[in-house]
Amino acid sequence: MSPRIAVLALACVTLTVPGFADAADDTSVSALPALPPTPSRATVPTVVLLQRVELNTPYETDFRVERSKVTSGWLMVITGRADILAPRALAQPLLLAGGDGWTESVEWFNHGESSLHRVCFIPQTTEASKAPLAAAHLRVWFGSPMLPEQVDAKTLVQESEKADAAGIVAANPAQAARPLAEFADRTALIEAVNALVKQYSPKETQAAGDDPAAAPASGVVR
Amino acid sequence: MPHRKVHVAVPVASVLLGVVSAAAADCTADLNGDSVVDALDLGALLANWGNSGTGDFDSDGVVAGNDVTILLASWLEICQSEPVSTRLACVPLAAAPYASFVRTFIAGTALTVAVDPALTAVAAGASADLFVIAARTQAEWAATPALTDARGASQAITFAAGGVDANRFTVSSTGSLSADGGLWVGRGYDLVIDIDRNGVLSAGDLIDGAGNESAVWWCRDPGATGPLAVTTLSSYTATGATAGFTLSRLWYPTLIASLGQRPLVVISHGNGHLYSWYDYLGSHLASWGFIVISHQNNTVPGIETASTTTLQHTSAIIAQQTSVAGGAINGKLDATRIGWIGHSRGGEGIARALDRIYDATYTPTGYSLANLKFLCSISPTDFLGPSSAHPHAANHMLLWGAADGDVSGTPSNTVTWSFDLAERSIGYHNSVYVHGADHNDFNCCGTNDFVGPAGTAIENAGAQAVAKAFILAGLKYHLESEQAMEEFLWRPSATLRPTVVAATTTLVKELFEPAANGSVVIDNYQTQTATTTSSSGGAVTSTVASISEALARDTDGVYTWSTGNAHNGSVRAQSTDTQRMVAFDWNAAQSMQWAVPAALSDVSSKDFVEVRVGQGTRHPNTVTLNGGATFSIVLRDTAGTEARVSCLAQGEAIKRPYQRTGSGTGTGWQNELRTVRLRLRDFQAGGTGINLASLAAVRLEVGGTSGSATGRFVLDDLQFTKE
Repeated sequence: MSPRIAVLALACVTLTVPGFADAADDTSVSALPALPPTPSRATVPTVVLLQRVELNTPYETDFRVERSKVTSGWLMVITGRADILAPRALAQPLLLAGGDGWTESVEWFNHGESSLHRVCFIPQTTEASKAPLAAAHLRVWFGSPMLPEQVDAKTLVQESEKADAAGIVAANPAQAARPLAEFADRTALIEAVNALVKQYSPKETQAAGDDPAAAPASGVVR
Repeated sequence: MPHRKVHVAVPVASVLLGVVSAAAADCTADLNGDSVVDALDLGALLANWGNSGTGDFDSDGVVAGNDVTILLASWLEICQSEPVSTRLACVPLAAAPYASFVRTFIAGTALTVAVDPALTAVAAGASADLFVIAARTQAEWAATPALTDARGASQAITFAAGGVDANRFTVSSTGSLSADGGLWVGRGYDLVIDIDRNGVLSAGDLIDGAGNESAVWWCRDPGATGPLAVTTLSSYTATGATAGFTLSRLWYPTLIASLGQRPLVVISHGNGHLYSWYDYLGSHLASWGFIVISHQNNTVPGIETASTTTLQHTSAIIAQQTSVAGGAINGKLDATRIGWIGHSRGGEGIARALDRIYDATYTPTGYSLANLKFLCSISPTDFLGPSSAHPHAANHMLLWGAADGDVSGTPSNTVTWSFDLAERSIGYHNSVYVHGADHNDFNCCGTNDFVGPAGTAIENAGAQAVAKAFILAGLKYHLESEQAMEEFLWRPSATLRPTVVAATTTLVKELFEPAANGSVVIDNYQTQTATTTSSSGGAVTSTVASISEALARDTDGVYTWSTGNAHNGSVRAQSTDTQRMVAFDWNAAQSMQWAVPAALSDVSSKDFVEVRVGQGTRHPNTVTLNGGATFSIVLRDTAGTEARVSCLAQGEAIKRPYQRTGSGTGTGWQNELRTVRLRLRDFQAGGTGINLASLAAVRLEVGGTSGSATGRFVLDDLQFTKE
């Protein structure tokens, strides 16, 4: 089944990008952006696209230690700060999404440090998250730095509590909602993801599966 | 004059059955038994002048003029009935032992031959011919003893009175020696000093390379492009790989159809990196004959997922060789010889992948654990710890930049402790720690994350030159058994440096050979945790200060020196790891001595005494020293004879830690251990008489005349090893 995705061109959101970390002292320099504290309201991303997705063939998400089966979820595009989005070898902030009584570990497919746009998928692993989405209640935030593959149900509860304590509230992304899309399987979902990456973060086309010989530019040129 | 037993110059006629067996010289006049008739013998005769006994060659009951005539008739004759096998090729040293005997040389650098008259019978004033000969096996030497110099002509040399320093000879015309070893980086040569100048390997001649080993490996630069043109397949799709991570790039020798089966190398990138960022490495390795792939790696979720894509892509290229690149590599891929290279999370991922096979929680198709001959982790993370990220007994190399701004080695975050993986390995493993290199210097395009003193950055070009040279050396050694490459893994840059690596680039190398390779461990600190007992059970006595045996783990999260954190700067063991070391400091002539248990006392079959040593970062003594630290090793046999060799015998002092700041106050990053290998032959240089078959103790001396006046060391793995 062909994906029924209608992606609208959206104006880029201009964000204030924090400066790179100061040198450790006058003999050292560093160009890797320091990671700000998370969760915090200052690091909450903006949802620019949200689309309900159903899969005919389930897959196991890599972003949970339980490797939960997934048959539905939401495609999502967010925009955020470069210091949060910048890839690093060490643990990056978890990307989390929650609604009425549920929290999920969000998958992401590009980093978005240059475009400031990240293409994601919220896998619905619980009955609560499969309930009709009250978009006005959806909140998306960056949680504690951690490997997503080590996230379990307990982690999600803790991260939700931390978000509450940090005053993170729903983002009300209703204006970004798109019609339902159905996919045969994970591979088809990835094709849709790749199309979004090419649109929102064209410098990451290789991450989106383009043959590098045909891709215009790859990565960040130093 | 005591009889001097020749320990290291071994008659070889018993194995060289075809050599010309010239009649042994009349050695009656060799009164002191050193295999040469010379002034020492004349002196012994004169000392007994007018008496009977020593020197009375004609048995007339009195030492007189006729006996002198008999002695002079044999003047400077060598009393050997066979050729003598000895080490000749060396790097000259400015101080004792004056020569570091090695085998690997980069073509174009100086090649020196040295003879120690105290260990090898040569006569001062005598001339001989030096031959450089295309390497022959033991059988070939037996069949063909005639000497044919690869330079076109032999070289006349004349021995001088004195020791090694007076008997070093620069090999001439090395420009005519080919370093073309085909797909091997080096080409082998044997060395012969034709004492009797008869043009044939015969009695009394000196030979280096009498067995199947070569005396000299004359090498091309392993960091330079290899001899083969390379074809690159920009990408192909791997069947069975995780959705979204199916693409891979392929490099292979263009003329692979003319080659036999070639080993496979798999490159697994890190988080935020791309599989197309390692062209420099893929094309380099393919130019030396490897089939190389670099694949999309699922690093965002973590290490487990990254390990899965490594496992999947390895199976995929083996299965798809029939079709990928139009079948160009079909039948040419040797799946029994596989090397994995991983960067960052990918560097830990390859260790996790191996661990999964080891634990039998994953069964790969097309290959097995035994086929994984070499793993190289570049700047790896350590998220998973010893239970899940473990190289086990695989051959493993760690390559890491000291200016890494991501996997930094800060003591406050154990995920950044790359040395954990190396320390965890129980197989043959080595490390190359590169001053001035940052995390993304090892790929083409990652963010500049350099953190270090201004002016020390070596940038992508510098770091990638190191990576190309040393990864190739590791692959050639472990996957193709090219012996010439091993010395690259442990010799300091002062004596062996790939020419593509800048002379100003500091490399700190460690090498560990497991007991299975014939090592005799004196102390590795894993057992017998008292500071007065070694892990081999012998007594340890010391006069150094502040001794601490403990886990190699900085415990306070900063590099600031603190007396309560004795292993400050050691970021090599998670709390669940077991790697232990000793640390101590000194401000005077002090020492630490290990008694050698009787069961281990015969080390005559070993080649080195070695130990891993590093300076303790930010310790006041290290700060005061402010430079390279030195020490000496003393061996003592059961008769009480001692021999001493400085650590400088291998060419370099123990460098101070990279002068990086941060993670507390002060200057100096983590403790950088280096393997110091001292050749046992060096302890016999000059005729010390040390009996390596009956060793009683090993002593490390610091301060005074033995080394730096002050300092602090961390130390591990004192052992005797074979070459």
